[in-house]
Amino acid sequence: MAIVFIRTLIVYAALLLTMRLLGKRQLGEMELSEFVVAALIADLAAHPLQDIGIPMMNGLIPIITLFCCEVLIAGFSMKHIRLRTLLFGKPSILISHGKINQRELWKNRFTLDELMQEMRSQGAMDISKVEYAILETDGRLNVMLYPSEMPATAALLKLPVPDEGYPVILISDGRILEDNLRRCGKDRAWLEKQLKDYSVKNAGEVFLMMLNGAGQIYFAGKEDLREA
Amino acid sequence: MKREGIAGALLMLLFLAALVNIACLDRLISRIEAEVDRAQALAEHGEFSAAEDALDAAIVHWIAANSYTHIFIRHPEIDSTSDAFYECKQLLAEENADGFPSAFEKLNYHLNSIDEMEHIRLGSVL
Repeated sequence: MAIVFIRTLIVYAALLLTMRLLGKRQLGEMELSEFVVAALIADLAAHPLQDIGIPMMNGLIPIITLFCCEVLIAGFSMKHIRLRTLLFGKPSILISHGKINQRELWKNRFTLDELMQEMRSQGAMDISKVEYAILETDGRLNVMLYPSEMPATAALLKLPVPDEGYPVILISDGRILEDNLRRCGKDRAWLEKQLKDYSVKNAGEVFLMMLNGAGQIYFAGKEDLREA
Repeated sequence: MKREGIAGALLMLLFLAALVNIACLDRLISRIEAEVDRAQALAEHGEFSAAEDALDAAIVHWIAANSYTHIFIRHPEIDSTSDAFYECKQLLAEENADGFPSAFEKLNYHLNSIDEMEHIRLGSVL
């Protein structure tokens, strides 16, 4: 029991460290080699946990080895385009100028239903309005409409849009984020004055308070959830 | 390329550690096998007491390597080998001339199996 517990903690720490070192990409969009590593690591880590007769090393050494291989492959594929193409493939253009490339569709084993489903999920209902649909190497489909079909932007309409900057959280669930406060060039005295303006005694009564580059404040007071 | 360098170095280090592990295991098993062979030879000449002493020396070495073997060898393999040791010891204590050859054979089989398990051969890799 104790051994399983300690082993679980060690494997958990090793997995967390490995996935963290592999980078954020691993969590969302995975290339083929990354998917293989992620699937293998999860399986390898489970064995010494399920059977205490298997030495811990039998689980940890493969995790470290796979991690090193993945780092090497990722590094070399950054430098060598041919290796990258060999390992991860190339993006495929499934629709070009409103015309479906059936050969590419077949090559990627992408059915018409899947194509339509992916397009609908991106708000493109009509193929004739799609300039390009590109199947990326991580399996995502990127749809690009003809410029005339794209939603109008402020730049296209030549409308002046004030830049409000990035909103920074100053108080999160009653806790003052001192680093963010300093980053905005504000201090405690300024914050207390703002709280007073919102008729709040202290930060503990604030659920969320944000400040954007234009100096605008978003304020949400804490609700009493005990009554709910 | 710093990260890749560290990863490459770590891979090399792991491979070297694996080679060192093979050498360590080889040395341990060879030492124990020599003592087991001596015990078997003594038993074949009817010197059961001396054979038991020789086997005890092998058991002492086997037990002394416990922390190493438990980290690198599957625990059921270790248990089977320990059982084989004590089976031999019991037969020697009983001076059982008919039973000990097969018990020694079994012990040698387990020791060889542990030794060969880590060796890099096509058969063990595939």
